[in-house]
Amino acid sequence: MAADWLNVALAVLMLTDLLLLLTGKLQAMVRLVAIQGVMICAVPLLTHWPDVGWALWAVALGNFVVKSIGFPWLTFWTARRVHVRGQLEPGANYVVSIAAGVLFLIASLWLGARLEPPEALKSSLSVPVALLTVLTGLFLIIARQKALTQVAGYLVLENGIFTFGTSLAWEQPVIVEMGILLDVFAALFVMGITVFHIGRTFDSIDVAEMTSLRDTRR
Amino acid sequence: MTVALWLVPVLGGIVALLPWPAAARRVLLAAVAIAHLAMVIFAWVDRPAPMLGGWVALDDLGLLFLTTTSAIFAAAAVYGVGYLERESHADERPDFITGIPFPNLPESFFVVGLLLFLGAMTLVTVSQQLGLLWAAVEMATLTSAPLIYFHRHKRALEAAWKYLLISSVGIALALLGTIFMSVATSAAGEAGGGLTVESLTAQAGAMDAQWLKAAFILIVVGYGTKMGLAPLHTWLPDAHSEAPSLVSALLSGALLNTAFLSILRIMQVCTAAGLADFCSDLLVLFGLVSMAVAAVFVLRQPDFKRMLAYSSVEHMGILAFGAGVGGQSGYGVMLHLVNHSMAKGMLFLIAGNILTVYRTKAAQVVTGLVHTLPVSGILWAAGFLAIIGSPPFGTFTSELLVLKGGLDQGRWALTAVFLALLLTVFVGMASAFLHMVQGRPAVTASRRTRREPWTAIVPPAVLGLAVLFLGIHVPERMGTVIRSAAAMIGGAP
Repeated sequence: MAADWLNVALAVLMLTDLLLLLTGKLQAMVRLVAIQGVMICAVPLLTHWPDVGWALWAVALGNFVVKSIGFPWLTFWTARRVHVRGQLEPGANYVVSIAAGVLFLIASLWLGARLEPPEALKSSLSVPVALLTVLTGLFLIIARQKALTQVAGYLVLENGIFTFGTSLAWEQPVIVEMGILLDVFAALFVMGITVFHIGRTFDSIDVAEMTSLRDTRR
Repeated sequence: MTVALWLVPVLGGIVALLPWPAAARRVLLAAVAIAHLAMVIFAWVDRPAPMLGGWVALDDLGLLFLTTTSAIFAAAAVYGVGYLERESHADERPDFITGIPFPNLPESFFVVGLLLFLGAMTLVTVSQQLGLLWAAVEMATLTSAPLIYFHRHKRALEAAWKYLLISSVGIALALLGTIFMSVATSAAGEAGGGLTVESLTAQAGAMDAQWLKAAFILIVVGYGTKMGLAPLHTWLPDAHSEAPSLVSALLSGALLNTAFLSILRIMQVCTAAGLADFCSDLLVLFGLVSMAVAAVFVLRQPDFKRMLAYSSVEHMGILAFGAGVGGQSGYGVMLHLVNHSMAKGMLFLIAGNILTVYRTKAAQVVTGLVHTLPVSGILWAAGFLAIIGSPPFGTFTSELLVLKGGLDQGRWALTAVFLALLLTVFVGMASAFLHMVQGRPAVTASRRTRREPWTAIVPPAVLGLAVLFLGIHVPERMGTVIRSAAAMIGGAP
């Protein structure tokens, strides 16, 4: 029963990844990251159901707070103070994004089949979806033009890694998991402040404007 | 006591947040730095015991890295006292390049950042558990990002953003690698023993080789980003050129090393698992690629701080190559990391002096250093000799040992490439450096410029003398620790 729900959660996660690759609006992106936050909260709980200790609850809820509440709040706060256009204008155009999406999907399913974890997993989707999320996160960081999108990409990357960790029954002491969560939170905080400064200094959060440091002469 | 090593700087950082008068806070910075160095030197005499159930322990490898970090930080802190005092004279100053006035980060945050940074780096050197190691490296990244953005102008912001983003991605990949490592251990039976280096090396024979290899690749790519291995080094030149010089000295002299230590810890485990050849090939590849990239960008590099940054990439490449080759190179690598850190630290601090007086980073424009800034000029020339590996400096010995190790291991072709790249970098840097020292001064040499503040010349001079000393004689005790550290990463002396 829990396995079915786990598959549902993983499928939703996969969908959010693909949609993130295609979306052109900041609003939509923030919503998708928030939905991912909910799924990230659900996946570890469903994987280990019914022996879920208080530690796992704490980590899951912590993730929810950071990604589903923290990041949208950050975006809202930045958008109010800095002129952020709603349209994201993805740096790579739509055709490339769709192609990348399909490629990542195929790659993660293939790799997922090849990497055999020593213990049987509750869902065969765990590893492929985690890989897809990691690849999506990396793509968002590299191929997008707005600093906020890069922060979103970082969060998505962390989501993928976290899914990997919890699916593969990575039993770490609570303190390490909390430490990791705290680090992600701190990273979000520092990135948020930096994005704010970028918006104020450059009058936009378009990273294409930040090209003055280079070695090749134009 | 082991916990005290990183707790003292962290507490110092928290204390520095209180509203002290600026001068008192600067003294606090220098005091904590010197106290930390004293504790580290004491650790050589009386090694502290492992704590926290073996998660935190100071072994020979860690001690070497910790000493280097602490020494560079102490030098940077003393330099910083003078630097911050000079920077505090005006609320805003005009940018060298664009002329637009810009403010600085409030001094209190800068000092707090520096102390927390020291705490984080110390934690990396004493961490034996891979999860804790990861958290410490992440902490070091987050505390150093605001330090890069000390001068609040566009270029520094761009550099800080690139640094933050690229490092965070790298570290995230290293986390994935750590998870894979954990999966590899679960094949051995009992999941746990808590991912400490000790327990991992004990079960290494029974670990799943496929997952372990994947883990190693991810970890080298991940921590290699922070170490500055090409092609993951792109944040390095920007961060080094835009950060205040003492921060650049810390980044090159301490942070890159701690990332290297993280890679070495994993290599300990992989070597115990019998994957030494695989690890070796990967590290040698990254090493040579880094040296090649550095050689390309050092030639005709107009900005002298960027040139120093690419030199750091080159030396990280040397370290990776030596660690990969093993054998006698292992000893050379351990010696080299100490020598390089101190030489690079010295060079960056002197670069700061040059920048203050000449107000430009263009190497072509700066001339006649020996007339305007006599002491800095001589140290700059000495630093050049040290960094390209000329006798009697310690870098000559260490690079020669890496070279010899390569030949002893029978890797003729690769060692030849290594040597060729070393020579290329030498050529690239020689003309720029020597041009800067001699010639008619581009800025009027006056008594004001010639009288350099002691905080600006004593720390780099001390670092330079240390490299010189190590070139002539490596103390007995230190030699033992270096040999033992080299043995830990599979390099027999």
